[in-house]
Amino acid sequence: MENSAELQRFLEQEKQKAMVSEMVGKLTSVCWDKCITGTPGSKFSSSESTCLTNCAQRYMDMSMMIMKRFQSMQ
Amino acid sequence: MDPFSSPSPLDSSSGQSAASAEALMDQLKNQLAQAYAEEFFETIRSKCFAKCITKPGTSLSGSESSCISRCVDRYIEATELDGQEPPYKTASITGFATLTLPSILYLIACANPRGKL
Repeated sequence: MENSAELQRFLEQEKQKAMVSEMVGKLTSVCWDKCITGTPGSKFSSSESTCLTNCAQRYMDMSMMIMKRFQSMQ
Repeated sequence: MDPFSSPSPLDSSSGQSAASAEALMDQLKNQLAQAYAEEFFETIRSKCFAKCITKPGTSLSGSESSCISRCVDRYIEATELDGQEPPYKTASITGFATLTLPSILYLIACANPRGKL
């Protein structure tokens, strides 16, 4: 039963990690599309980095907002 | 590692031993690491194709090649900006995303004998 608890913890942890990884992956993907409009350079321009940072934060804000909206509609 | 061909450590009717749980966890960790790496590869492949190969020619031109190199570097950088360790360090990326996240979560659910996550 000890092993079962350890396995449970592990599975729960991996599930959380998978969810975070998926969220970040999705976010990086959409923000890349939004912010890197031309050909990739040998480094990000300052407007590109600013855009990427802002985009990530606004994406998270927006996700939260949509979830709350859904909850308020139930 | 194919989850459907290798025997599950939970198959034995004598229940879980410490070794079986350990083996299962290792197997899952490996499969997850592999799946993340494959997904990352596919994402970069599709982004950089879109950005760099605008008119496919009879071979990759020098400018297409250098665009692709820069694109890979920048995408990895963008991933790090979002606080994620880019999962490209796994050896043996095949370029075939056989496990997607829904499949992984399904596998995790199946591996859990108590049926609750």
